[in-house]
Amino acid sequence: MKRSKRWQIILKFARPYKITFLTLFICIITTSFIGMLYPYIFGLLIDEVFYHKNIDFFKVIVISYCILYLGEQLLHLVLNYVAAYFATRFNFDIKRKLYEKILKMKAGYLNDIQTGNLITVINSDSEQIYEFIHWNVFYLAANVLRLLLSIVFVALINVKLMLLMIVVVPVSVYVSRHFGKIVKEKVKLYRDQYGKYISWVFEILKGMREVQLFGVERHVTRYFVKQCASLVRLKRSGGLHYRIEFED
Amino acid sequence: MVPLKKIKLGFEISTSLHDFAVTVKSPVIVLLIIALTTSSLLYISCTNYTSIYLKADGTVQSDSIQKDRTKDGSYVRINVDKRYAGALDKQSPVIWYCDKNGRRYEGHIDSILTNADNSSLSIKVLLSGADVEKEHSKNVSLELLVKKVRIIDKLSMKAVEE
Repeated sequence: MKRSKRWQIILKFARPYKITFLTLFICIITTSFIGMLYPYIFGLLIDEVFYHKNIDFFKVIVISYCILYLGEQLLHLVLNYVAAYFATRFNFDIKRKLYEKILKMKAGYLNDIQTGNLITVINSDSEQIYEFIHWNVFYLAANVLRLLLSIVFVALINVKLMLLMIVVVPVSVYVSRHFGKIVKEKVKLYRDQYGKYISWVFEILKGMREVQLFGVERHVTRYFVKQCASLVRLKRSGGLHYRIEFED
Repeated sequence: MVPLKKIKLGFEISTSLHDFAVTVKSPVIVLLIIALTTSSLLYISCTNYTSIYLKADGTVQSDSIQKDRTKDGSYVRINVDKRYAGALDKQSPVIWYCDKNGRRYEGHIDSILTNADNSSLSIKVLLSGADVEKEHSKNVSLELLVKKVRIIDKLSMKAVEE
């Protein structure tokens, strides 16, 4: 699927929540900005109170700090409310749409489909869009703002340091992207294996009577433990060496 | 079968006026919090005062006759812009140090004279002889309290002053 198509789908689901989006975005940006002011205020405190012995300034700094802290916490409170509301409604819309799609699928496809995998798609994968918007879009914007402000602050202190910062930041972004790709591959591998594992679990639970009838509980338990261990190893290392071999 | 589009969520995560109508339906409360915080900070920074300092470098000199007798008499003479003429007097606190990260000492303004060129002031700052002996360098930096200004003014001129 093309990237523009993906964005269209996301926007289609997000459109009814424009105001919520806006509120959430303002909260995230403002709390990030306030977070940046603390070191600056602390610097003022050190300069004035400890260095210049200006004790009167201490009272002002403490009151300012309290106001900022209170404002930030109130915004966090609203942020959490809005995020909870947004996540619930938004994810519900996506899950409902997914369910509608499944109901309209062809019988042949439904016959071959892995139940556990499908449940994971509805329950867990559907929430990734919200996670993407919340963390990747909003917090990325907030971090870009923080970066720009940091550059301005550093430039006021020392221009050479600011230039060094500008050189280092793209390197840091490149390294993050490089490792991000590796992690993405590993997560995809884990997700595929988990889909197969959970499908197997559902099948076994559905046919538990047969398992008991044939007396293969030990065999099934051993296999279950083996898969769990493999998944844990896969999650921890992400390596291809621990790929789970599923029985036909 | 009931069409899925007809099925409502069946519950609201926020039901009270405070939760739902204010925080979720519109960003009014967020804007209110931001406005309140900003205006409070602005009020504080516009009504409270802080000090601004003048920085200058100089070399420790000694009055030899006085030094032999009292171990005091070390001083630093610095030149500052004449625009500080009204802001400085003999009671203005002075801090001096040799190393930026080192120990700070108090000094006292002995005299403030206008230089011959009439564009700068010559300030003589007395240092304690005992303090001078603790330091190995003769090159010192001084910080003179110039005047008190509103915090908002200080913040806007901070980069220039320093």
